[in-house]
Amino acid sequence: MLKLFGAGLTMFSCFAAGCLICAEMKKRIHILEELRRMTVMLSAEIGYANTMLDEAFGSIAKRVSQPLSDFLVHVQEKMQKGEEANLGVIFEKQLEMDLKGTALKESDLASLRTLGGQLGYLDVAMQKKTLDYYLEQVSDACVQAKKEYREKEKMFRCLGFGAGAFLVILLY
Amino acid sequence: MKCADGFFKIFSLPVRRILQKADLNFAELQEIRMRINSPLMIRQRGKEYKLTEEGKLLRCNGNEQYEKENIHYVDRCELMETMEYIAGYSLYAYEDELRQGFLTIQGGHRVGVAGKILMEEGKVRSIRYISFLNIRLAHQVEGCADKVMPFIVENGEVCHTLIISPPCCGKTTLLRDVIRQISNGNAWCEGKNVGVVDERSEIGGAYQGVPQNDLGIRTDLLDCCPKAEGMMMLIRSMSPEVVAVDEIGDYGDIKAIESVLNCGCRLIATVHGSSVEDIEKKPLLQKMVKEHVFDRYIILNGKKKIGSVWGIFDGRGTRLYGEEGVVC
Repeated sequence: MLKLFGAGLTMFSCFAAGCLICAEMKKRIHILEELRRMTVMLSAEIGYANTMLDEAFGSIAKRVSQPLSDFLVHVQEKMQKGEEANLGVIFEKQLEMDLKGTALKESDLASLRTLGGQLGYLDVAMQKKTLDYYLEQVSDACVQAKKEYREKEKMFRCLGFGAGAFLVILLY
Repeated sequence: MKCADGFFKIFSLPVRRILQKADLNFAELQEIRMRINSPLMIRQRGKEYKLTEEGKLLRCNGNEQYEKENIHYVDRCELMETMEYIAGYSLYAYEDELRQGFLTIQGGHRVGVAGKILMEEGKVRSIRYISFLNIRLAHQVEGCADKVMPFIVENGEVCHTLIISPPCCGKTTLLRDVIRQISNGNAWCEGKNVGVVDERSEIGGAYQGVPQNDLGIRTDLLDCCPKAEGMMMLIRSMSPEVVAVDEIGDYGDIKAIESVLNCGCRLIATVHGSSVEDIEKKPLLQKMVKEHVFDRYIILNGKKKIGSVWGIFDGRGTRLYGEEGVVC
């Protein structure tokens, strides 16, 4: 009985591990889509209303979900405190604090880091170009992530189930 | 002082520390100047001072020799850092203002900038390599219009008033208090709806559309709006009884003023000048003076002190108030 229970638990945990990987991939897609929305909104705030960055971040934070919402709010707070000479430094620090442990890959964080370093530089036209370029990057990443998810979702679930079965056979 | 701390946040960290250490009377602080490779300087109560690393104030009177003092010299990094804080890391948002050579920040303070100008098709496009900053502090002086109010209100009605003043003599400060008193009501008139067109955010010092200065409970503000369009928008939508504008001068302003007067609104305006005769020399304003459009002229000259009223005249030039009293 105990062996059966153990086997069941092993199967379930391995299957769950597979599902967890799929969930992480899905989370990453969700965050990338939020980043895309954030970029579009930021572009509109700057292009249409000539909004300052801290105000724009505060406004957009209310329209996006976690963890991006917290990230933007913290960036806004740091900007308003006025303790860093460079927006890029503020972005970098908050990325480490709010987005590092999330489903985003290092490449996603690197693109966001570059965006932070270029925002506020020169004129409105430059802001739009910077945001358009970032939008392109994040859209590509999103498309890639969705494709990867479609291809690998079943595989990870099956792998999880398979690994569980293998372990059960091996152990019991 | 909380408001001083909030204001000093616009400076780079080294300069901020020096200003916080210095024995400054924020209410009397007029200007802070930053020039690359030059001493950090302030103007307080009409006097100029250099600042040391320890925040000590050294009076500038031309003959000073302060070799032993550790005077703080501004470097490029500090100035750039200050610009980042002033513009909220969003210098792009101040493109139009930079073209005019200054930007107005939260609190209504004006930051003059100078450096290398970028031209495009013969017009100023922007300023690159900002190397000089002049931060002029705006101070609301509540009650500074107390002495002029009896002269600009007649039978409970506000007279069309023109405040004439050279630069830096307190005309905007006076206008602000006149607006506040008319809006709230006082011993001379009931509270009235006042519409203000604040083209350079100096009157209200608005931040995100909300005036940081007290303009009264019945005041509607159009911030960063050209005066001509602003006056038309106000009279169409906000039903003002009084319209207030700062620094009238061009053709569009004059046309809009005519519409304001035709609508039955009272007008309070300011203009650069030293006397009514000086205003008469300006072609655009000459007609208004000759047609007695304005019922009252308040002339400031700032000789004794900022806000000194040289005289108040009616529309025909009769002097109503002539003592050199200080109102601000």
